[in-house]
Amino acid sequence: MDNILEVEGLSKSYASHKALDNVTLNIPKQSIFGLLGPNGAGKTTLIRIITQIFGSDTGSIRFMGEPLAPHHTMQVGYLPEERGLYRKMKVGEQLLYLAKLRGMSHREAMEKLKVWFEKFEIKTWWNKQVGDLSKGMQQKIQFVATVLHNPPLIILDEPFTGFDPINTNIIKQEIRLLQEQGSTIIFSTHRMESVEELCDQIALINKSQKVLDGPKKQIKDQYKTNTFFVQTPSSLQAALPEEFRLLNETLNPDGLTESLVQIPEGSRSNQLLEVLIPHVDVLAFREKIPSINEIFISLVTDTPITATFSQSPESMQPSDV
Amino acid sequence: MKKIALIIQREYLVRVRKRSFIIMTLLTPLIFCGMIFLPLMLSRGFENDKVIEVLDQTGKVVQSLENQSKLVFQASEAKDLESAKKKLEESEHYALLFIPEMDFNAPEPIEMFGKKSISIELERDVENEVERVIEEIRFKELNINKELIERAKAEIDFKTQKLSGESDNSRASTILGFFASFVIYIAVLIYAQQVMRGVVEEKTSRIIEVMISSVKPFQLMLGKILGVAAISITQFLLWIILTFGLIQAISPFVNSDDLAEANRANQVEVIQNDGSSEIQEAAQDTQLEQLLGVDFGVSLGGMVAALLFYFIGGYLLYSALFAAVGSAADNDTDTQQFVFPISMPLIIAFVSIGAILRDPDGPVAFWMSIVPFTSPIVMMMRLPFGGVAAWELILSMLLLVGGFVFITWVAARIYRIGILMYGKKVTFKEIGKWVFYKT
Repeated sequence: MDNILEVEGLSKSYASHKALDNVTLNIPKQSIFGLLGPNGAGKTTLIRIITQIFGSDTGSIRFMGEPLAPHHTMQVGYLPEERGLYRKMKVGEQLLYLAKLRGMSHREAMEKLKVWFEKFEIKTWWNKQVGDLSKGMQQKIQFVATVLHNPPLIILDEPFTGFDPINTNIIKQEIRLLQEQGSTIIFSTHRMESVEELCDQIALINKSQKVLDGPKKQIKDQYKTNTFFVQTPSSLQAALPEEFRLLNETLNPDGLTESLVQIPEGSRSNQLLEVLIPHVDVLAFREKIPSINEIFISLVTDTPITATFSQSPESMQPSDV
Repeated sequence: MKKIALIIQREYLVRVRKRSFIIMTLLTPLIFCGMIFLPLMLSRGFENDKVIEVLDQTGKVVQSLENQSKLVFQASEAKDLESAKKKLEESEHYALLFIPEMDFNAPEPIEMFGKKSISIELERDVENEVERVIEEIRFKELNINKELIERAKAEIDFKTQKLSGESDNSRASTILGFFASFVIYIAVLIYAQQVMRGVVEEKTSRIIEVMISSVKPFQLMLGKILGVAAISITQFLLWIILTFGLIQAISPFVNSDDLAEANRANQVEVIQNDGSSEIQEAAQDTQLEQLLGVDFGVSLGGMVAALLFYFIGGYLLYSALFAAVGSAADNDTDTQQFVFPISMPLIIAFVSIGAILRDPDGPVAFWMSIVPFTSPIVMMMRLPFGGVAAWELILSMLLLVGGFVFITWVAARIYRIGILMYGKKVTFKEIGKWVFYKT
């Protein structure tokens, strides 16, 4: 058993529409699991069922091997997208209250809080009213509240909204650290660059259904299209034989031509090079691996992945694997 | 259970430390004391005697008019009405009383002219005094010995009693019933609205989803209701202690007769505004000391116990309703459309006060004291009259307990859906549907 969470055939309907339709998902232990999907796809519903805010119509969830039960709420840390704090309470008081509601003793909570306050350098905030803090500061407090009780499963819904780049990096580091220490993180977001950076597993939900899930690397490999990125001083269109498709061609700011070329199924990258070398100087050459963003757009808008390459400008940027 | 205790603790501590709580707790006893002592001080200190000029064309009345408290009669030097009026305008005197030449056996109307409009109280005082003087003149003219008449007048104490032999003091009962139901009416509304505002605050600050991922919505709602209940009891106790303390502290400086007088005047004033003549009458004849010494249908201890029971029962029932309404709204203004309809039964119960006090054991009073939504107020009106049978009281209490259990259940079902709804103007119809949603 290496999954912390096993979701089986989950469905949920509201009065007027179906929010989740037969969703099955496994979330491996100690992974950072990206839960992706357009607005209204059913992500929040899925998360609320996992956090037992409400139940599902059909289907089952197993948490660490056991059927999901009320006492499991103590082992989940949840940072909702719509989040807030009691404005009229002091920071320290509020964190203590939330910690105790999740079953921590006063002393235990104080010890943990001390560590976090030192780590985030926010010791002076202890007696401040929450309402007096900036939005970013409140977000930090909310993050601490979510992870304070060391839950094995942490669910973060759009955790970076409201953070400046410096604080975003701090939180990213903490997420990685929590993973190293054994926690599993479910990470729901629209920001694909943070998915690329952090997640090792992803699932895509669209129109109430899961359309894709698995290890990120595997998914990206699966969506490879034998396409290569080539940088040349001039256009290479004339050099290409018919079976090599030129998908896109742009001039970069330095006046160099950047092209995306798809080669036929079964051929190798060197064959493309052999075709090009006699005609143009190849300045850069790299396999084009689809970004999560491109896969996302392709699946949600139901267009071939190669069409998204020319749509999204960042596709021309080198993407790391 | 531990979570509910934590929630109660937070709700209590946050409120008890609020500046508004401290101010209200300290200010209310001051206002109470002010209501008792201020009219007294005012009537003593700041009012000058009012001089009434009297133009008496009969020449028989003016010399017999006796000055009243704050009221001095003075014969006008003018000869006719016109010049007397002119004189009044130039002087600092308050009013002019014109008694025309008349046959005392068929009196002409007597007129009074004021520089400003004349208060009803003053008019009554002057009228009484003039009538007394004219009566005396007529006694003399008719050769009637006034003393004999005084002697013949019957001064009988009239006491109504019930067949069972208990004494029936309906006036004191009226006051007590009115007071008890008034307290319940105000307290239930104030504290139930506090619960509602707390729920709305959790929604607008968006902490609600964090909260219900670690506690059940029902626990959160119940914790809030009980936390505010604890606040209400604290505030009540402090009010009682502080008010009595203040009265004790001030009393040595005030003549106790004056105090009783002021108190009575005060009660009349307060109740007059309410327009219920029964209570007014009762209040005039009843003093607090008298009230406490009276045998009611129930003992005073019983009354206090019933007051507590019906306050808590009524509060729990209504605060659950208000919590449900709060959960359905996005902000305080959204709640307004729901607050009025759900406080309707309370308001109806309270405005029925006249009808119920007239006939405390009639069918209207009976049914309203049985139905849980109105029983906290109406039963408190009926109880001091002693006509409530044991089975009625037990039935009413059981129904109230049953009522609040049921309402809390319904409210919780609305609440769990409502707290996650944003950006939607909901209607009663929609809220009704939520009750049947499954989660």
